[in-house]
Amino acid sequence: MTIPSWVRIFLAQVLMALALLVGVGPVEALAGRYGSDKRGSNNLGEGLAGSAHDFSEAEWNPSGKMCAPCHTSRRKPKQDKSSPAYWNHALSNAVYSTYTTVSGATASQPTGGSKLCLGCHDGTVALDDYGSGKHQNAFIPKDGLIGSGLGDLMRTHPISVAYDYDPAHIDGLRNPVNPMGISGSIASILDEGKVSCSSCHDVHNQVAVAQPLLRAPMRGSSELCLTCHRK
Amino acid sequence: MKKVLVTLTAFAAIAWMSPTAMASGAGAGIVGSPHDFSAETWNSREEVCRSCHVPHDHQRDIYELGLLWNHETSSATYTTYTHVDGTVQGQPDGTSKLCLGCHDGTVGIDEWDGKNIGAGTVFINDFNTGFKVPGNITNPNDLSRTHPLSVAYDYDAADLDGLHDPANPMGTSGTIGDVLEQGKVQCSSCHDVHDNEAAPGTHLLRVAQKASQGTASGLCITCHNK
Repeated sequence: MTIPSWVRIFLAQVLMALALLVGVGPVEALAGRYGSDKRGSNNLGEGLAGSAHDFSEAEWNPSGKMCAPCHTSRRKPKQDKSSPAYWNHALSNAVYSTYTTVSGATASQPTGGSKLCLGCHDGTVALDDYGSGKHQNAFIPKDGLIGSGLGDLMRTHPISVAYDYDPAHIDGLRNPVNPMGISGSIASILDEGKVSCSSCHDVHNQVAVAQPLLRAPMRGSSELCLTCHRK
Repeated sequence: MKKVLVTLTAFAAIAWMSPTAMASGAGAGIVGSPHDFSAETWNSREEVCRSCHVPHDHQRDIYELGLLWNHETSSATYTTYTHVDGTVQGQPDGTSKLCLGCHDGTVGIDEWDGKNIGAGTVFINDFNTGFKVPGNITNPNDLSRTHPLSVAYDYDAADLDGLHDPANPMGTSGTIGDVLEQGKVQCSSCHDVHDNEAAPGTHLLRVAQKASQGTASGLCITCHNK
């Protein structure tokens, strides 16, 4: 039996967090490279609390629970039963126009973890459409919306696309054993071998670069891009 | 506990390694190349890739050709190459249009990321007039005196004076077929726009032209059977 990638990613993140907490890792050096951002209070290892995905103080989340908008420990109506993430939020039914390469190949519809993200970020499902409630009040602000319009993923980095590493292609992708910021290896942030939203965005953590939850910085270096792209 | 510590140390060691450090030296790629604009005054984000590409369009109207294009493109109509038989080459298409968005000199290099659109202040001539592709001064949109762009790679095994088999190697970029775009010769067929790696010290050429760097006119005769 193979261990699902989300379990591996979760375990890797727990181990990383422990490593940072007990001071085994080069925390100070990493803080220098990734550090706190303009939000000011986000330091290494602070995780979800206080991050852009911490909705515990959102008006539309009267329960005040941090994890509940996305996850539940029990089976509830909103849960996607095919999802291993104990999903507690409504999913989008949108059919997207997807990224098309120069050679005319069109990416398939998003799958896996990316579908969960799009449940809020495509703008068709309310943020407060979670749990057993039927709330339809709050939608994602424009700067968190993915795509040019509802259902348009053509002009956004392809998601649910295989990480097609070919060592002979010198202009292609880097070896997936290479490190991805402080998130382990490139391979560890793929979703069943595919690039998903969470490959670049550390949705539970502001550990790396707080806004917009990137695993490695873009400003000042394009390090995130060049971590995978061999350019 | 010991095993846990070993595991943690291993993770920490992975975290310690820097991807940018691994990219130094030979094969450095785009960082530090002529297409690395991270140090330009107009590039407030100081990113390398963003001058041309953006991961999410943020509801901006961006040229639809894949590649997540993030730079204004040119609307120029060009005088194009005329073949010896009199056929006139069509207007550039595909990725060559992207290159011309800076290199034809009509669009500001700083017209990017939704900024300065139609109001660029830095043009290719400000960098180096030699980098402007239609080099003709009297007709700035004259591409008739530059190698034809967006032209089909018309391989004919029977033509001994024509083109080489596209299965032949193209420097370190794979085969000739690999550097064509849907079978067409584009700017990127000769120029490895992201890299310093192929032929150092050249205009990002995939194969050097100097005999001292390999073969005299090595790039030309890679494709042309002369």
